[in-house]
Amino acid sequence: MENNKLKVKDLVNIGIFSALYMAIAMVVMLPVGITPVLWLLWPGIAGLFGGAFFTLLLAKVPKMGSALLLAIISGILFFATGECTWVIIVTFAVAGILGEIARKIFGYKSFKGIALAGGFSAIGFIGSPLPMWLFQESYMKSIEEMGMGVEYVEGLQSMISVGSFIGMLAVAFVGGFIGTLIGRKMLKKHFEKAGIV
Amino acid sequence: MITFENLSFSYGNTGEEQLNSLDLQIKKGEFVLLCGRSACGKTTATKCINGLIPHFTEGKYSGSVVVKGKEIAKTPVYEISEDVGSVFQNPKTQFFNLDSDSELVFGMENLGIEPNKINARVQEVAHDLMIENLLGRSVFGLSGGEKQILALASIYAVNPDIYVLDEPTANIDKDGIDRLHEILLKLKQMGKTIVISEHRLYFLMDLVDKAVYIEHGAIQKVYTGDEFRALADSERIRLGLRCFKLDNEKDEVPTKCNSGILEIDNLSVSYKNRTIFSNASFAAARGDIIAVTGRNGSGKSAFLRVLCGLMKEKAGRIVFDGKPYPYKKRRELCYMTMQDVVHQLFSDSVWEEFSLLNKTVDEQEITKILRRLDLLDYKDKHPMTLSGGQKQRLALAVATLANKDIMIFDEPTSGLDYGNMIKVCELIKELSSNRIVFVATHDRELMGLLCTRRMEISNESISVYDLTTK
Amino acid sequence: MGTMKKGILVLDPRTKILLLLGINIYVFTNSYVWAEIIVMAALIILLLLCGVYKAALKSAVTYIALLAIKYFLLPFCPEIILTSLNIVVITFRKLLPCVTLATLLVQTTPIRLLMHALQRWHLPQTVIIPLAITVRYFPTLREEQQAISDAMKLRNVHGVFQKLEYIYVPLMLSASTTADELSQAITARGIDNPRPKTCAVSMRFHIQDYVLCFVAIVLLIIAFVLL
Repeated sequence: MENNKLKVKDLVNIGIFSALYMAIAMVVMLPVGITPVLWLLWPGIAGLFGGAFFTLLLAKVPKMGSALLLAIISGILFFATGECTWVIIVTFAVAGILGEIARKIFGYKSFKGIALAGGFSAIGFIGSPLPMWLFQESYMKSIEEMGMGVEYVEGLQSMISVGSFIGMLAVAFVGGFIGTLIGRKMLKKHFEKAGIV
Repeated sequence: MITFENLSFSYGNTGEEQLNSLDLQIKKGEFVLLCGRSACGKTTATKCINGLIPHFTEGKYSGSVVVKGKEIAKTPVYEISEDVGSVFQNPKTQFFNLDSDSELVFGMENLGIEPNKINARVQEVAHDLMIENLLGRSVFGLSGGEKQILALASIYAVNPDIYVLDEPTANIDKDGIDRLHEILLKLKQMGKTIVISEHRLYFLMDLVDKAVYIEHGAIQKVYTGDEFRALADSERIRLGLRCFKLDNEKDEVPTKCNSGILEIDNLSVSYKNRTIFSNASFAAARGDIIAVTGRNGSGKSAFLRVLCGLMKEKAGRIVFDGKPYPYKKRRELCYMTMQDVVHQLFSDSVWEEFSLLNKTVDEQEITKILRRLDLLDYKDKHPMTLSGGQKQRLALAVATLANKDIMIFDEPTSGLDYGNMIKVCELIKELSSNRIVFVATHDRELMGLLCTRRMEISNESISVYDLTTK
Repeated sequence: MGTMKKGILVLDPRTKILLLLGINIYVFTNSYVWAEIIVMAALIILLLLCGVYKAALKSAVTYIALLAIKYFLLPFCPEIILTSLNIVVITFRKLLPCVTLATLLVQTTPIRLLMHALQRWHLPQTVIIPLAITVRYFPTLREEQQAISDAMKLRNVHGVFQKLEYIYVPLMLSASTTADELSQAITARGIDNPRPKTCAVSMRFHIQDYVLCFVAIVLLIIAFVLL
């Protein structure tokens, strides 16, 4: 059926709501530099606040590709503006694909699909703090240089570890998921009533 | 050139514009005006010419529209756009690009025209339409009028035979309107076919070859240009059309009024490091309805925001009833309705909007004002389902019940037809009896009907005039 | 966002994108501080040559500040915050080259040229169109948010949740309307024309582009070897 292809109207909606999704993520990114812990929580928080925009977009464009495009565009722009490294393009690509799979399985008009996709999408944001895991050698080196002891190594390892990685993933997914639930409430209260969806 | 044959269309949702068996012929080189009350179907008709109906907007479509021999329903929009160029109502949402040069070449790039030809054409366009001053600028730095001119120039670059304009003057100032008229005249002289749907009629009366009056989706009457120009005022009002000539403008006298309950004392306002005006002083009394005018970008909004307590003044004071009011406190004195109605409607029903005022409002009061403004039937509907005119009336209703001493209305009549404009006028007049009203507007017809004084912001200063009927 | 900076050196957008990718890869190769300083210095000179003065200055100052923190502040920091502060400072320092180069990209390349560059690289229109719209909507978004927050101040809005709802909802409604109006406008301008689009500005690699790309590749190789 011709209806499943993304038309200009859909592409424009994707573009605009991606802007909203990214903008709120950047706003909540402000306090992130204070401590790595906040940075690890950022994907979840961004997903939580961006969930409403995500939900409305997917409700307006219940076709294959809207979640993936939102993710890729976010990834590309976060990279191009220097907010994040190339890693974020990869994480968002993966997040977007997972989101699309969820939507395909549960159906584009079902809310379950949207909620799961929202959770996956938020995982894309981990591309920002992820370099910390890859920079471990640098951290170690500087600890050595400063002549600090074992406690610091342990402190570092507890903050940037497999455990905290999994924790970050979980928080991201849950944040994104709940974000879409909030979005759904708004949808019912306003957008369905206003005839936009 | 353009033929409508028995065309009927209705949108997917109910209650929106419909067209009923429209039959119309437009010859090459004609300047055709589509007019009528709000939601009569004129915008829908324009969309049938540029192909947005039926390709972009879904609905029930029957009959046919043929443009230059091609049937619209069977031709893709991008192909239609080579013959039909469209300019839309909202300058802010027409542009794909961020800078003017890119926008000018956008249409040509989409057509795959060679770069050399494109660049040569841009020079031609700039010269023909005299828009050198618009080149190389950010779209966001342009005034509303400049934006519409840019939109028109971008279409001109592709050089279609037909131009379709949907209420292009809804948001632009006097200079913009004059320039638009200039360009339309030029296009007409070049033999282009122009179809324009408009409420604001006075600026194009001399260009009209044919005026099509539409009511409830059907053509009531087709006038020749001369017949239309000769219509009596009473007939015009009966049809619900705005004025044909700006002859109700009042005489202006620089104000001599030095005191009043509201005193602006040596006020200086600046915005983003630009001085809007400095050391301005004037006074206003209850019953004043003051038009706030000035070119797009002159700083009207900045002044209104300072007055309202949304932005701090650079220097000076605002004194009311003998007491100076620092900026945050002024919010208790003032209420403002904004230009873009969407930004100030928050609830999920018309009725609920009133619960967001800074005080508890009596239910009876709400019912009264809704009935007065013909909105009572919609009290449980979501504000976004209302038409443009209805939304503006709702914002007005909320403003009325906010019951502040100083009322500020930012472009309350943009895009309204005659009937709605009169309703708004009456309401504001009533409100002004024991309040001070500021109305920021480009609408000169409105000013003539409503305002008692005029304040102009230009050249970093303010001039205030008293208006008297001739 | 409309006014672009221009300097003595003008680079093809594709060069800038490639350099950005390059520097992104480079920062993950663990190099010594002196190598870092050389790279930062080179980048700042590049920015200056391209006319991006303010950002060059900001980058330089930030980098020096981060280095100063590393050598002069950290050794005297109390235990509790040392680990976190250390991680944050090092990460920012390592990422600064990426931010610097990205600023160069953003401030010297009109969005249209970036879109054409991506088109040359055969990125499908399905990605390019929404990408362009996202970028185009950002400045509008700022205006919207300001207007909405003004409107809110004039009404009685209690409580955090209500405040959020009353920011989100008008924003989304306005975005929805804008999306519809914008799609109509660009459809009527032929954006979905299947003919390949042309670019009014010629985009060709010049000598400076080849030189920079070559230098970048060499640097990357050295970095990997030194790893």
